[in-house]
Amino acid sequence: MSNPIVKQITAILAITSTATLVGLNSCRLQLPFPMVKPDIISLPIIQPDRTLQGHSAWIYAIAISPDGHTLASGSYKGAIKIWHLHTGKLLHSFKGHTDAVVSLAISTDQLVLASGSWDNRIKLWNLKTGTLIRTLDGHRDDVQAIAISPNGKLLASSSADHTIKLWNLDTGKELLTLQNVGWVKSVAFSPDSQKLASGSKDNSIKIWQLSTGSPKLIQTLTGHSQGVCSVAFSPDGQKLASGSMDKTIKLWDVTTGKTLANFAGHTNSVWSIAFSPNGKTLASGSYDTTIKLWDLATSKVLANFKGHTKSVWSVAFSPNGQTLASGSSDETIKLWSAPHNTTTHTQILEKRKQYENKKGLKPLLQTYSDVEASGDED
Amino acid sequence: MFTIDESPLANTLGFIALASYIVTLLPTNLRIVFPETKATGIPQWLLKRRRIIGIASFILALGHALLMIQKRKFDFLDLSTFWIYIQGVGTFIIFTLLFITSNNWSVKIMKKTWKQLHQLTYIALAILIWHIWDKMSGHWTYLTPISLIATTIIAVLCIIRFWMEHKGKQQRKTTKVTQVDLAGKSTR
Repeated sequence: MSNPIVKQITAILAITSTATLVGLNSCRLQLPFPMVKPDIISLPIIQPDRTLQGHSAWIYAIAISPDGHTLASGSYKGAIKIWHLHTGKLLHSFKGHTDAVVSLAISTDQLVLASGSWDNRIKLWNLKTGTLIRTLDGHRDDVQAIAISPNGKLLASSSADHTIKLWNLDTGKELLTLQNVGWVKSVAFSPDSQKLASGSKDNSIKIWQLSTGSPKLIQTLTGHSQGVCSVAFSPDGQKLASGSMDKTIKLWDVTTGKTLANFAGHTNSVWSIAFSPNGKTLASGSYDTTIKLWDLATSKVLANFKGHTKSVWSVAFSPNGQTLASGSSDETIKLWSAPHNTTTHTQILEKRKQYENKKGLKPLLQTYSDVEASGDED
Repeated sequence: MFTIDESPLANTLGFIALASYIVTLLPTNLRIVFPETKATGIPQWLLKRRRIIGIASFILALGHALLMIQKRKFDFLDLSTFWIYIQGVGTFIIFTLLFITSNNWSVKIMKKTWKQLHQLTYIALAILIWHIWDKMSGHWTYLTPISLIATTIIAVLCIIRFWMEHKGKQQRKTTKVTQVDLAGKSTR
């Protein structure tokens, strides 16, 4: 390596790669050109109430049990951890997956936790005893998403092998396979367990009717300009929300297939979305490291949740809607006080002030403009 | 429980890229470790086509990388992504350098440096064994054991070759010294 040309090539490579990496990393937080309209100026910034630490890898998936007591999280290293949502105590650690756990779902009876992994497998765990019930084998490539039907009978899984499979949750038997459905990144059941929505890399969303013998495709929703990473049915089952790599979230009418609203504000891919239990707001977690709370009536941002330092992969509401949980590449789970049943910015701010006064806390930065002025992002 | 999966397209592409890469390493190693193979004409045949096989290997590796990026939502804005996928990124950088310089013009311009740069291919071999082992641990496909066996065999061949070359150099040094000694003695 004594040759000067080799030295020069090495130096150029080192300098350019370092500059590119530093540039890429910083541009996520502050782009040199305006991407977001001043819509979010003077919006409240909500900071996390609690941070759960214990994972030593990117957290790709989280799920909250229907009783609101348990939170499950899955990481890049294949570890699953079960936490007590209120105390933050670690209850169990499940080990069995040999690659990243990218999707988690808890059954309505709170007995079963299903986990989907890049190791091509789905595992069912007993949440009470902390043991493995069974492994569902059948996918030939990474499992990308899973969902448990609200009636607790079915489990849906989508994989990079271009199939969606439906499984009997009780027996673990594979019921059917939808072939050549493309690269499906997300699946969700409707509240009545009759419909299944799938969001795909080909920018489309498909809605399947499950009541008949074999699922029937009833709607194909198009409008996103890039892959659909997340789908969620509203609590009343009438609407469907979708988060996409095109940085937007869309709200659809399930019956007509029409776009009801378009939510723009994230500066990068929207990986995860969740409806609040009352169906009035929608939370979204993004590659841009932020979580936003959207008002469904006005399609506007109600609040920004800032605290994660890396991509937010998963968001979930507690059943009472008071807590929002998020999992991120920064290896932490954050719990936020979700302003439920509020529809205006003032109300959220008022609530925050009341909380601070009650706790005797030093007031937090309240508005986006305050943050800009202080030069402090978080 | 130990199970073997079917190989997805991304892995299959990676496997063919690996196989092509191993083929590029074969001719020199065969010629030195098994000199008798020269008579078969196989090393010469491979040597003639080494550049094109190398380029094919790079293109296949690129396909493998693109499919994996697509499939696994890589976060390129997170520096730890590059650390976690260090073996893949490292091998890819080496392959890119070799690909860019795989032309007569580069050989002409770089001269001795070209040879030194292309020695990186042996570093890529070590990183590739680590890459397969690390990324496929716990969920082997049918191709994983074949890949590991093939890379181990070629790595062993390379080690034997380097050892033989080193021994040969030492012998030549000793012979030179003896010849100088003999010449010195004869003049006395």
